[in-house]
Amino acid sequence: MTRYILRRLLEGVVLLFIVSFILFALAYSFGDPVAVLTDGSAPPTGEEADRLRRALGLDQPLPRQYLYWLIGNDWTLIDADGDGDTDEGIYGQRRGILRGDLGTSLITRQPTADRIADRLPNSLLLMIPSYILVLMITLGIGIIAARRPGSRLDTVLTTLAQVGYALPIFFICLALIYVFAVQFRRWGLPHLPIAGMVDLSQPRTPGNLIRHLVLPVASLTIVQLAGYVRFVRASILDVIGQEYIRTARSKGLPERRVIGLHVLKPAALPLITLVGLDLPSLLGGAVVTETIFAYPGMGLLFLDSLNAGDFPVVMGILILVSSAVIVAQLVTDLAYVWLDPRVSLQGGAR
Amino acid sequence: MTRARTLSTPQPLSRRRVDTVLTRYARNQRAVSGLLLLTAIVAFLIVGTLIFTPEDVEDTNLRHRNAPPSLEFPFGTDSVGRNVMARAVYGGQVSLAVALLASVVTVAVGAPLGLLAGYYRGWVDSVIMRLAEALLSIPLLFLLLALSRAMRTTFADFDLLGRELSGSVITLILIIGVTGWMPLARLIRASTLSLAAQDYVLAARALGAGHARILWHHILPNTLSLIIVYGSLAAAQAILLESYVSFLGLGIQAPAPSWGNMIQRSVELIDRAPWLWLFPGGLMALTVVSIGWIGDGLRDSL
Repeated sequence: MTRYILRRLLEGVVLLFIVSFILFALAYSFGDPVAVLTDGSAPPTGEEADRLRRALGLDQPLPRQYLYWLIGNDWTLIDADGDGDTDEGIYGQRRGILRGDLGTSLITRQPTADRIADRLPNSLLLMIPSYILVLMITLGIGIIAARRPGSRLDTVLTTLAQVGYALPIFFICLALIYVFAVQFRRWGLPHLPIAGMVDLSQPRTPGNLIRHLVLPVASLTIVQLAGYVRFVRASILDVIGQEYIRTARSKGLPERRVIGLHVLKPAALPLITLVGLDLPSLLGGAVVTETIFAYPGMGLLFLDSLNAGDFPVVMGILILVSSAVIVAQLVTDLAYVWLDPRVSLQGGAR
Repeated sequence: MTRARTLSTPQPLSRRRVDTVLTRYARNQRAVSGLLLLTAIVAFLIVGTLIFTPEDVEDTNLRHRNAPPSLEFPFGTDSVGRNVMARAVYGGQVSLAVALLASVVTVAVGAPLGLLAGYYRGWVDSVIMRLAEALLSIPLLFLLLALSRAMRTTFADFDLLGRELSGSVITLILIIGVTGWMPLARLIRASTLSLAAQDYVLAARALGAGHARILWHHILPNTLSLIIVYGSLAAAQAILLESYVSFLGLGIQAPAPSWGNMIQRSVELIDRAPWLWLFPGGLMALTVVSIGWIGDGLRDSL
């Protein structure tokens, strides 16, 4: 077990390095950050811009820039005055992503990490409830399908899942807004707010926040549900056909116990892997949702930074999220091994 | 957004097998309705092109701003009085063309990489598969948005069939295609691994066939069904991705409309003009459903 964990950890580190290469290449292709740098005034030009480039290490050859990007340039002397020689006593100021320095926002001059930390809790507030809802509803529908495969209810739910799978997420968001915010208001019913995270004209109560969360969470839930239902239904039907289920039924176990213990447990195991694999797409879907609902999460920060040319923030989010994905996959792999007695590590499970 | 789909062991596509595949496909109700639905959508786009000229797409009419659907404007008009139906017709062509070409790029990148990884194994395999894993751990939409921004000015606007198209059309085809190859390469690799170990491949090698010949004549044909199925699913996925990127403002740029960028402005007008998103969004959903059903049907009958 320890060997397996160590090997997976090592693979994770290698993966992170490859990801960092790809992201660095991307960061490089965004062009010269100094050209975007602003303090509310025009970007620096001429001599001032050259001085900044040297301080950031942007005058260096590519491999060196990658090194600076990873571990910073505060350990090396830099050529501050541009005479071609390094200057005594003047070091760079970057610390590099490996040492927790995600750079400084070109627009607000705040550390990137702070800007992301501001938004991360908001995004989690959307994601965690929608994940919990998806898992609960999926298992509910799965049980219905398992009880009576092919029944009318099963068919209706499966077809709905099929259609939901094809709906673009903005379609779901806009339809929900149109019904529950626009039309409900016209009909004089209690309606939900369209945008934002809290209503600033009212006291900042949890109720205020929750009212704003309902529609975006519902949208994220619906768009994910389809894929999960498809998957869980298939794996439940797979399990139900097994011999040991017939055995369990024939020895007189109550149906509740058969489904709860013998069907759901093995059928739900692959869900763990799916949740881990799906993390990236959930974060992606959240960009659209957050944009439509003007919800101040990470997705909206990403989009705004991209449009403003604030590339350190863009890269910071990409690095953070990709690392989170790699870690999540590692954890789900390990959880799977731990939970599923059928997976053996002896054969180098993979 | 990428779901694992199980695929049976591939078999070569001989002419007789094509017949049985067609028979099986024709018996699959959902697959047939998918094909009919897609045909109807394509027919709508073709007939629409005959009715509306490219000028109709850009014609503004300030007396009919945000007009609801009527006989004159079946899909209503937008905030500058443009005909939404004409835009949906021309935008749909762009969306479908981008999706189709992007899935071609996906196959063109994914299939050779999968073949190479599965056939040569060793370090070739390691490099390709690690790269695939790394790309898969970067959230796709984030990656697409960033790539689109980085390549914003790479391609110039161009004229095609008398229509002015933005260079962003090419950018989108390339980036959606190039970021979608990983699952296909994995599938092809797995199937190549088992194919390369089979007796007929050993026999071919014993007869002196080179690597290129074995790959081209003996292995590739046997992965064709995988490629067809995955290619169709990739096209459905590409329609959604194009619409997301365009909706967020980093995709297809004016003057060309696409289903995604048409919906971009509809958020502000949600309480006044629901037809702005209802029609392009609905067409898009129908297209994705139909391609999905066709793909599922192909998978079951191949």
